[in-house]
Amino acid sequence: MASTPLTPSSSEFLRRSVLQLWPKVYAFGRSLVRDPHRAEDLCQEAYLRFFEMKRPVDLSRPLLPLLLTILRNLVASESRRPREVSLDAPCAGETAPPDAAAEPPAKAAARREEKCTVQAALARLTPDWRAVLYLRDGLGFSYREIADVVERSEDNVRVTLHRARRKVRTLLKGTGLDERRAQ
Amino acid sequence: MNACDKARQRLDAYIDNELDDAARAEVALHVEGCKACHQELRELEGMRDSLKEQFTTWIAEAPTPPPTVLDRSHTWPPAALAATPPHSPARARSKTRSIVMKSLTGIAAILLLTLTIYFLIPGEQVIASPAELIQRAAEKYLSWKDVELEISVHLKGMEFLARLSEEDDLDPEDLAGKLRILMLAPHYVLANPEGSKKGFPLVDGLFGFDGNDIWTYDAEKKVVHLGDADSESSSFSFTYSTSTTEHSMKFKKDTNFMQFLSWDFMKQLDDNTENLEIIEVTGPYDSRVERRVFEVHRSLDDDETDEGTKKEKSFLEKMFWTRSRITIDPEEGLVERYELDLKLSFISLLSFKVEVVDVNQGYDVEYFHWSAHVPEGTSVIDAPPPAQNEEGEEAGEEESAGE
Repeated sequence: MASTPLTPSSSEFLRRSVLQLWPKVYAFGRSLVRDPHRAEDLCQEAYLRFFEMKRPVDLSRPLLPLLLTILRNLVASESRRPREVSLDAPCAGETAPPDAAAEPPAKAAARREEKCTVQAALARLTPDWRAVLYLRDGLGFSYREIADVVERSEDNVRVTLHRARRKVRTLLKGTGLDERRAQ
Repeated sequence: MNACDKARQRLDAYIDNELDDAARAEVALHVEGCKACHQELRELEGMRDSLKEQFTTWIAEAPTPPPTVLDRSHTWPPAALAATPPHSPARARSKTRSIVMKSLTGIAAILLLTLTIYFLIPGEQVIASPAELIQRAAEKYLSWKDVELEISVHLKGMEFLARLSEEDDLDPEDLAGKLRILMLAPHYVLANPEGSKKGFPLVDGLFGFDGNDIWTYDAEKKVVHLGDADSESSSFSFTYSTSTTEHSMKFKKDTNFMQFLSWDFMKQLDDNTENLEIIEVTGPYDSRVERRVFEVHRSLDDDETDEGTKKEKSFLEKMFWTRSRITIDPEEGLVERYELDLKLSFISLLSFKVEVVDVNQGYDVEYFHWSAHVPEGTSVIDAPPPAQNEEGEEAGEEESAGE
């Protein structure tokens, strides 16, 4: 619970803080469903549910895990079939980086290819594996925090993470990306 | 296990900063002196960086929150939260007053509650017992026209996995299988298996049954076989095999698929065993979203033979026990999740989970028609299953499903 009274300005601060988490929640949605449009819909729904929660939110704790948990729960209960999700969602690497103008074309092409390779590898993982990888490598969550979001034990998270990484490495082997990265 | 194996097992936790100081120092020392492990660590870090970059891209690609979210956010945090911060200085100043007010409010609430129970809803308890809650939820469940469930079965057990891994280089995770069940009326379902090809050979196919007939979809030949159920007997079997084992599932005709969620079914279990105990538990997440969770503990004790005498089990057999967990949304009266664990002592051997994916979304017939899940160009062998619905409601739907 909040340790200080909520003034209008602190309410506004909280509101902004929650909205600032939107990109991270959206990216979590992408890790779960892959389709960017569906991820956006789910993210929107998660936010609306969060705003409509009947119980007061514990403001002394980080809100991101709660939003991620709501989203994960939504994915588990949403009606659209995952089979219909387009597997040909545009490759993330196709969007130009902020410093694209300064980058030589060959390097930019290599970067795009690398991102597509990683995205293709991620697409072949189960949603649970992608989610755990995102929470760890994307958001830097601890195993304990990941366990809370995905509702599993810490040991399970440890094992899942290990398997997911092993799988990604296997998928990247042969593309030369893993060796290049290790150098 | 040699030093390299030991170090490599900990590399994930090492790069994730999840090792204690001693273990961390041990790994660091080994990696420093071992070229192969050092290379392994570099590769792992390189891959992590690639993933991190990818995830950063996803975050950067996030669209701006839509107007609906922005509009709704203006009423958050709710005024009530702002008005009554629990540990505020104002609250501390008026502590005594608060206690008096709280007591008075509490007494008033109890009085109001008692009067409400007594006068307005005679015979009904405000706080339902587990039995009533489960029963009510199950009844509501069965009254729905369409329900979508997701069933996942996870086979565990060290020996079992080790054996399979040894023979087939099978990743234990691959054994996890999921069946997505689309349910139209209680008896008419389609299952769309997902997950591992190794664990469930029908991963690219389908099987369905309506309580009387079963049909399967052969993904390789793109053919749907209908009427595979044995029409003479009162039950039919569905068999699938992995590379090492064969499994058989038996469905009783006209079995109400959701019966295992009903309290009656629990009672049946109760009749068959002396050790059925139901307790209410809540997890941090569940309490946050106001769910009630019940656990049914049942040890697999001595079996009763047909003659009514007890057949004593071996010590090992007595180590088996099951735990079911039922998650209910009391507001909606909805059983959201049903989990069953079969354990040998503390080792989980099999876990079975049914999760409600969706209900009453007004699906049209095509949604349940197998062709909605089967690629175009699929041939159909035999006629579609006849309409079996007592009210005849689904007859037309099934007809169109067979077109």
